[in-house]
Amino acid sequence: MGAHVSVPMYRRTLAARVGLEGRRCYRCSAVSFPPRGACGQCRGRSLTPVRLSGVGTLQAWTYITAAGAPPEFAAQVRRDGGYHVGLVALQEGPRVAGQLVDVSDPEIGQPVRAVVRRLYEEEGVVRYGFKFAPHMGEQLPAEGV
Amino acid sequence: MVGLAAYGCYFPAARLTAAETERVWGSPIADLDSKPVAAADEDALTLAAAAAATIDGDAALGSMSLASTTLPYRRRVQIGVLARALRSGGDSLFTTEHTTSARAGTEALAVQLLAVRASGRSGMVVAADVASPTGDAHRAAVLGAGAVALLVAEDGAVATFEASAHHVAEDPGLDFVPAGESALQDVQVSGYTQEALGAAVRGAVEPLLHRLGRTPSDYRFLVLGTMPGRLLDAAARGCGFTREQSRPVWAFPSTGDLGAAGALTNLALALDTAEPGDRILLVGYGAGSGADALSFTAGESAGRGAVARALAGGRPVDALTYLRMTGRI
Repeated sequence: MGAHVSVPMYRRTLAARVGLEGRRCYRCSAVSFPPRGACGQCRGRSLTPVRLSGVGTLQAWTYITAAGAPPEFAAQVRRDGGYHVGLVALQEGPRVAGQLVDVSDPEIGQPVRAVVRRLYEEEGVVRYGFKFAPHMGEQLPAEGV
Repeated sequence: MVGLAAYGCYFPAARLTAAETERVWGSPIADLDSKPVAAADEDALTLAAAAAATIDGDAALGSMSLASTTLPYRRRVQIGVLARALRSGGDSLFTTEHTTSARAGTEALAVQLLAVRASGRSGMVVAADVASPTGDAHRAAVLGAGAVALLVAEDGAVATFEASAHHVAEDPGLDFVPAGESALQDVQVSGYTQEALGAAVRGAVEPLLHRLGRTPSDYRFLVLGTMPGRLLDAAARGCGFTREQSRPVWAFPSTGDLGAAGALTNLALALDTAEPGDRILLVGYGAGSGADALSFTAGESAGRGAVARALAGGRPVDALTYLRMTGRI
């Protein structure tokens, strides 16, 4: 299964992929990420953009070998080998999956933070997006609009 | 007074050490203990975003300048990724990109100092470089990777800006990439390289000292780029400064040559070390040649240890891994 994202789709989702912009529901305050048209909790449709901290906790992880990587990541695995992918519970609530970087032995419960990295390049266009690196406790921007 | 309100650095986790270089290539690289190596999913923009993210707070930026000689694209606006990552942008953000030489970092800083003075709004300078392709094995061995971000504001709590002077000349054949090619080239005449560097640095430093009515001994630090030590010493000596003023604020042994990020990384090292009131003379040099000299006075908030913190915790890689990470095998 591939991980292809078209250029128009990539452009539409940049605020989430690079700026970690989610949506907060006016009615129940639940945060959705990636942003959706309706609240995942109460189905409310009145949502406002919210910046996520990117800080969270690793809930599960796996290792993708070079042979098992989607073709979009062929250049990455050729240079860096296989990679870890984790499920992260962000401190604002949403759970998201992403590659883990700068970690050789992930631990469940480990604090992580989002970092901007190259996802892959296709059609001459580099796709950037968030991955997760170990969070060493340095101060990060607070949540805000 | 306009100046620096915050700063931060980022270096990739992978490190090629001098011991590994010596084990495989037979001899160490002069002055270089270790250098950061970018991962396959890192480039100058991701390094820039990581450095910018180390700066605390949600300052509403009015302007932003990016400096790098190794951006992913030769032609297109690229600072938008950085603006997105910082949640800035749109039609209220004035941006510039500086890309043609190692002088780009101080070019960007000079622009931001002007922009903040004119607008009254905060500005950010981010300089980042990864190792450029080059057919010169010795040059490739010293090229590192890293990024530095500076927040420029009307209230320079970290350092206040005093004045600047600039110099330009025509020195062909040094550290260039011809149009349509990607690899760094150089005529490799060391005496000529040193002479051009010295003349450009003097050409910016001497008018600035004259204007301020100062001598080199009025400064605690002379901040130059992340160049090899023999060039650093020659450049400092050529304008009347000593090794004691330039070597303590020279990150090269731990970072290698950081290109456009070199001088500003060394500035961060100076800010990490400075006491309030210390004077710092920053000089950015670009082969070709041009130089910018900027004079600062350290403020109460200097001394944050940003460079040491960013360099801590690196992961050594062996030579084969290094060659694979840099795409050479």
